[in-house]
Amino acid sequence: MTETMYPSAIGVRADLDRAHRRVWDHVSVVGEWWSAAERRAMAGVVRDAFNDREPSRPWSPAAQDMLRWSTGADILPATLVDALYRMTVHAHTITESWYRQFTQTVVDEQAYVELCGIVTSVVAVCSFARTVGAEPPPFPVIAQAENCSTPARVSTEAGRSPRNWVPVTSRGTRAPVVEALSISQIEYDLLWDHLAPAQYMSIEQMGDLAWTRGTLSRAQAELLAGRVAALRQCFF
Amino acid sequence: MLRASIATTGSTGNAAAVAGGIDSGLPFGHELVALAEAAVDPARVGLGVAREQLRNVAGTAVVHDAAAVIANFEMMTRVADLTGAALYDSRRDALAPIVAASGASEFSTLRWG
Repeated sequence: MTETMYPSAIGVRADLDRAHRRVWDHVSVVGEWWSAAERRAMAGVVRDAFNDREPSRPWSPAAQDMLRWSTGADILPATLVDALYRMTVHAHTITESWYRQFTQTVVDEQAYVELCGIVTSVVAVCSFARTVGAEPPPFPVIAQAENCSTPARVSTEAGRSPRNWVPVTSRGTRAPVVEALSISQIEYDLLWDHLAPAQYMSIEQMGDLAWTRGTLSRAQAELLAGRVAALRQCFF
Repeated sequence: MLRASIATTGSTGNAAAVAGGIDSGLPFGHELVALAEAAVDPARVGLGVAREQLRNVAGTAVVHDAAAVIANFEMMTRVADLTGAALYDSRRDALAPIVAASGASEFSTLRWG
């Protein structure tokens, strides 16, 4: 990680720039369940779906169109491309029955959670770039060593919580939304060690209702958070 | 969290503003909400104007940090929706006023467990 994510003229905070650069690098290496090429292709679909100015309707198949214009999408099954589009653009329409069917017929539950990590982290970068009027750089070229690596696909011992569809590794000890990606160590770490602290605040800072970064007050930050959540029809 | 942070810091504000159409009473509250609303619109209607209006009254650093918070909640709402994260049933009564004020009782994704 040597290059900055955004041009220096934009003046993005260094820790935020590093966190977003990490996402671009993260999707270009082998994961726990997906290869580097698959992760990179999925990230491209997510980026293109998020930037779709005229999204298709929630339950209309998007894959056919997406396969035509999203770079790299052709190495992914059409059902997966369609799911990625839906997860990116219409996340609030995802239901438990869809999740159950998808993880019984298309991907393993652990693979699904890794997928969620890719969708959510790439969305974060694309959202920030769009809002400040910047263009994210192209994804890095996948290193030869990564191209030759295969994901370990080791099943993680996990539990079931009544507050998460997905299996989690730390049942009941943290908020359900915090536990959500816990079965994928790499996605959990990216979110909670790098993205959340740089974009918003760390889990520890959330407990201090007076904490600020020095620009927005805590109340202003929560106004933004609450308004976005309301617009996305999500309360967590 | 907005209601709690207002109470903790002693600032004045209206937490119901997250539902839209209500003045938050916070400094730059109008500009912040306008930026959030334009940022989540896939057509980006008014995004450039909203960005510049916030920049004019609060500066570039605030625009960047506001964009970062928006990005974080574009991320977190999807984490919750894609993984079926629910709220603790034991907190249903305590959260009822906030759920009502934010309009969340109408959300199909509102889950308790």
